[in-house]
Amino acid sequence: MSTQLKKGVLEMVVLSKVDTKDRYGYDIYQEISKNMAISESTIYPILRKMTKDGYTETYLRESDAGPARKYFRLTQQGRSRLVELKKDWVKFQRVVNKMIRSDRYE
Amino acid sequence: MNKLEFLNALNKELDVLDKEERKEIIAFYEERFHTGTIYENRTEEEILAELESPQKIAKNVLEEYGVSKKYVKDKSERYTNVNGASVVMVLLFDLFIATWLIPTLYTIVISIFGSMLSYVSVIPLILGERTFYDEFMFAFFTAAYVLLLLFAFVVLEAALYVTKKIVIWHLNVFKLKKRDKYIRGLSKLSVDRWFKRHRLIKSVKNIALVGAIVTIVYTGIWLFGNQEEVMAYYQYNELQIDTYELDVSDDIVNQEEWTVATDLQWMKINVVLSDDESIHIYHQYNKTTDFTATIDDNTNQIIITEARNNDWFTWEVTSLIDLLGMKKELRIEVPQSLLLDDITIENVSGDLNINNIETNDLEVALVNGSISLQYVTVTNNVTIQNTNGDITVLDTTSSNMGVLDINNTNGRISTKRVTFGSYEIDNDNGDIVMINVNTDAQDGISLTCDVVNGDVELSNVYVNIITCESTNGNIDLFNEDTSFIPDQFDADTTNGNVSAYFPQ
Repeated sequence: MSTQLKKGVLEMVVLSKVDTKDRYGYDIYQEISKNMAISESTIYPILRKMTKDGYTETYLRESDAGPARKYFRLTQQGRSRLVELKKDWVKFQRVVNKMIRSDRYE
Repeated sequence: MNKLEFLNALNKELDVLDKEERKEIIAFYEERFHTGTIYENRTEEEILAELESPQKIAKNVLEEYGVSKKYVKDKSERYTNVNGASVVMVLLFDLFIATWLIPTLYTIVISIFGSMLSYVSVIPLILGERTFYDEFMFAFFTAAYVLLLLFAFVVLEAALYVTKKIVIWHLNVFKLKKRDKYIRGLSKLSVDRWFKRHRLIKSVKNIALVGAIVTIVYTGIWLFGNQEEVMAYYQYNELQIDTYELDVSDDIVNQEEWTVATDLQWMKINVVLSDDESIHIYHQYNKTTDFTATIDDNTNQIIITEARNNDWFTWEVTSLIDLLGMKKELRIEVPQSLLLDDITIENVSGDLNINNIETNDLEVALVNGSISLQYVTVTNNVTIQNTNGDITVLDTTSSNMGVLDINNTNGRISTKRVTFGSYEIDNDNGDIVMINVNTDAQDGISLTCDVVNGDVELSNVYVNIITCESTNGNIDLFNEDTSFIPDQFDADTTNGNVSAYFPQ
């Protein structure tokens, strides 16, 4: 898949991964890479930016198995951002589909 | 590469980012390592194999932040973080080095440019009637002045370079805003750059350099080859010697005490014994100078002075000839049986020799020249002050166990077979060597040596209290009589070794 296309949707994908449950950075990367080949190093700055923009917040979760890890949780703002992005995505999909399909019939 | 090296490399690659952001990214990777090694029980190597290279990561991260590495400054142009240690370094540098280095450099530049003024004295050579001697002399000195001027430019460039480096260093250490602009501005400050911009002047300069070298070699060979004729032409073929003398046999009988004092500029000085009962002063020179020698029978004083001559404009051809190698010389002879109270020698440039003299106090103040004392006996103290030149004190003693005080900046200080009550030896650049000091050991003798760059070598020094300091040099103490151990031996060196013949 084109890197440019992936980049455009990555924010939405990350937000939705965090929406299902609180996750730590590497976990988010692993979850996404199950379906989509992406570079680990692009996920981390996105997470950082989302926190800075107030869409996610972080907390440290202790574990018996090892040192505490930083977990990401969606904020109210993040949740509405996700809804908005999903709405846009559906609309965008439709428009694009329409355009490329009508091309076929022209 | 291990984890730490990886994180350091990544940190370095990301150094255009804000410190806070950088820390966040690094934290992700730290956690990534924890997860892999501790939670998933794999090795660091395995994790590292999974990860992209720090360069690749940095490229992606920066792109995500909207910064392309393509548009980021070269690493060498980026600034290091302000840190306490470098600020301290800079301040120490300012305090101890910049304070003298910068003024010294510019003083040298100014004095070289200033000395160009004396060129005025060369011009009369070709005014009016002139012979080929005049022409050769004129060409020789003109070429010398051209070379001096070009040298001044080189020194100026060096001074500017050092200043620029220091200023840029300060700007970077203190992270001043807009330093980029200042640094670019500073880089324009260069003599060479100026010459490059003014090509005509540059070609004049190059022609002048070649011309001056050719001229000075050609006329120089001729002038030195015909030195005697040239001297004869300017009527200084023979050195002139003035003699002053006074019979002091009465004073010897009456045991009257005399003093000797000089205040000279450029003179080689010898103080020795005469072979009769008179004081003799011989003054050797090329041309009359403002020299006076007084042997005053009433006040029992020998006073020798030379007027200060700092005015560049009053230079004459004769003083230029002086530069070709003629030196003024002074010889003071005193009868062995004449009692001497104080000898005070003041001079700027020239060597000094004092032999076989007995006096109460001896005081020497010189700037440039080597100083040698031999078989000198004083009742009290010997004080020597010099800036450039070696100092040698041989077979010299103080009958009342006074102080031998030597203060020098550049040059070697050596003493051999000396006996004093205490020693204060100070030097900046050059060794201090003392051999056979107070060989019949007495109590309560102290010796202090202080040198910055140079060794302190003491051998057969039978002194109770020894304090030595050498910043960049070794300190050695060796005595043949190993049963003698000083009460106190403090040897302090920063970048050298201390060795002594006894365990400390």
